Amino acid sequence: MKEVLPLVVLCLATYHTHSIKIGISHNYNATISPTASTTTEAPATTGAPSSETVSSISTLPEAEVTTTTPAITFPPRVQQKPKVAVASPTMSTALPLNSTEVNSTLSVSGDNTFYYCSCDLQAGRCDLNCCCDNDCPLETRQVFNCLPNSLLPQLESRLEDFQYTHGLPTCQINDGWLCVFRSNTKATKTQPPDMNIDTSQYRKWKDNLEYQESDYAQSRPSAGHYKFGQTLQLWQPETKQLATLELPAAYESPNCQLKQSVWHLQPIRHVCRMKDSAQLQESIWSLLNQTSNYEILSKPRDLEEPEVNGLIVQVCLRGANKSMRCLERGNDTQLDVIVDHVELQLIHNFTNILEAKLFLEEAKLAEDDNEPLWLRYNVEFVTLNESLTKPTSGPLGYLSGAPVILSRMLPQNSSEDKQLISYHSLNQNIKEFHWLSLPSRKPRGSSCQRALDHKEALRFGIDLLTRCELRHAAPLLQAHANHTEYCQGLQAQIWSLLLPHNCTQLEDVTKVFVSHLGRPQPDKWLPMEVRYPENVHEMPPPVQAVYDEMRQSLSCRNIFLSVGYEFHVAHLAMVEGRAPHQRVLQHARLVLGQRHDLEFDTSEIEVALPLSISAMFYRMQTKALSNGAAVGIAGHLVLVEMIYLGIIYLGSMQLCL
Amino acid sequence: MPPKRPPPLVPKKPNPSMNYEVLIYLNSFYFGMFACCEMAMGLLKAINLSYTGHTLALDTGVMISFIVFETIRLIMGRMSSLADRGWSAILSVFMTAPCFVGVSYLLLLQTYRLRLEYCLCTLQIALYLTEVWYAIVFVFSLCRPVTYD
Repeated sequence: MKEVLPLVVLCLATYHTHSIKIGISHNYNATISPTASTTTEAPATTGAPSSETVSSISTLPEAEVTTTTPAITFPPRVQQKPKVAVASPTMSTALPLNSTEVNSTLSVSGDNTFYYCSCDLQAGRCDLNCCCDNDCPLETRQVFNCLPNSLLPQLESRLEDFQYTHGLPTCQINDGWLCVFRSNTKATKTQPPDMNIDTSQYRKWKDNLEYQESDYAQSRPSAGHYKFGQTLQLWQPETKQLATLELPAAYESPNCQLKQSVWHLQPIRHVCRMKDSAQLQESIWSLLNQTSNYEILSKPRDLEEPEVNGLIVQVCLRGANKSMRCLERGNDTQLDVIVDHVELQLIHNFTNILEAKLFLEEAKLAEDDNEPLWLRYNVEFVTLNESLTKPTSGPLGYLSGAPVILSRMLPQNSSEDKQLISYHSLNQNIKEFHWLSLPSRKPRGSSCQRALDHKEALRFGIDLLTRCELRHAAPLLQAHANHTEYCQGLQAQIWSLLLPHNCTQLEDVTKVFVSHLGRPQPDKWLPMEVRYPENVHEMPPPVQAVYDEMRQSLSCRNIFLSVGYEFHVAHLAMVEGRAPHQRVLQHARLVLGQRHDLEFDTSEIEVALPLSISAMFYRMQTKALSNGAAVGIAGHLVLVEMIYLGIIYLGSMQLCL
Repeated sequence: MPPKRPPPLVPKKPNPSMNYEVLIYLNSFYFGMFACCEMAMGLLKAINLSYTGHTLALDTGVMISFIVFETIRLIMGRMSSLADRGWSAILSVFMTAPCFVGVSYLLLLQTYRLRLEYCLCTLQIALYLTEVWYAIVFVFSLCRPVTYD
């Protein structure tokens, strides 16, 4: 992969870039250094154009040698080794110090040490139908479909599913001589389902009356509240009739010819295709008519109670500029706008429905009249007093496809204050972005764009490679212009696209941390390591600007156009074996691409730089562990066998003699 | 003086089953340690681990049968030697096969296998293979012609 990436970058550069020359930066020999220094000093001596200056340049024999040598494509680079030598010790000492400080100041939270719930995906918020979530109130035990302990799955046939028992752990948990190395446990045999062999029951229609009676019988024990997955009921006060709330369902067809009931605590998302605006209006009108004539029952109807109190659905219109206007309830309510998004928001306390709101979102005018109309239906269940939570990507480890969680080190106000990760800071901004957002290509173009949206974040386990162009204004090719500032600004803009957000320099990456777990913990953060393949022990050379007055060209040296993110993934059994198959990040690394020299000439107004960014997830830990363990054991066994056979041979020889 | 009579020709009698006898001798000590460890680990697993169905009884039965067979095999191997054409020694060679099956079960098909158990069974299999090899070498040595000094 590392070898293909530079080739891809070069092909992209050759194909897309027409206005600038991009070359690979090299380390020139010492013999070229004197010539380079002479060439660099030339612009200083030619401050004012005059005949004397021209004559002075022409008389230098070294300049003639430089210009006439065909092998050198770019002006030679000035070697600034002392600066690199000074900078690298500072960087090398700073990183361990910061890492040590972070590790020492982070406190281990003992509350979550042995807590694991496989369906608790949101920290600090109750997950629907999750019976082991500590964030759920006690009333949810009566609402959710909780299985009894006797129905828990039996032992599986894999070592990873082996339940931990005190004294004999698996070798992954506690390595030793008395650990369980392999397991051949088999799944319990399931009883075959009973087949109905009574032919008298065949080819008979279903008795709807019996079904309704059984439905009523089932609803009686739970008359006090809804259960998870139970159909919400509608009540018409005038005719005193019960009904169910149904919405069009996009099942097997986008035309939504079928309808689906709204079930308790089960969100619904459907997108329906409309033939024309008339059908769209008809659908909206039908829904509004239903909401105006019926009321939603906060709990199932109890036949013993004479009075029924339903909830009135409040209809609100949400404009394009996020403005909201609620409509008064009435039969003659008219809509003067086209609606393409219908959201039914049900506020609940897990047992009862407390409030119902219907949000209608105004449709945006389409550029093309031939584009089809789409009507979106959403049903959301919102908890009362629901608070914002921190982003998580799994119950403990990362879930496949969940975004990778990043955070940065907060600035230290004083020496006494402890350095904290912004994710765990109490005063953190809720809207702070905690993911790794990567640039993408703009639609109908190849320019780079970057949106701080969790939908654009890097997903765990999904490798990607993005190539796009950064368009930038061409530099002013004049002697008095500040070319170094231009080159550094160009590199900073490139870094702002390739590095994590709010990072414009490589030094900022050292303050970025990646969460080891999908549910971040204070002591489980990994620093983002910056790796420079050309010289692992040093930082990359700084950006340089070389202006050639004779050729009227500017060269920006040591420019990076590509980076690669490498994440090493391991599968661990955590919480003493009670949380198997947890995907965790063991190492995070930012690998810099190849250095490039960019040459600009006077014929350019705008330049397009080809950028490339890749993200790879490696399972190096598991492979290394398995290979290392196998090789170690095999080596030990071979050694023991050889010693044993040697002893046997010597013994037999002695006996023979 | 009467002339000296030449010494009578006496054939060489090397012992080609010496290697096998040495292996049996050493295996008897190793198996003692092996049996103790296996029974201790079996007891440890029975106490600390959970078994489904009759797997515990099956594993225990195979282990005890293997220990009994191996003990009988070692006793018979040490009672006689292959060179003497003793039936007990020959039978001990043939009993290596069921013992090999038993130790293979402990190594591959047992419900739970500990790392120490894994190593001990591997060494035991190495011993079996070596013994069988030297038994085969002994059979080939029977075809060698008798030489005289």
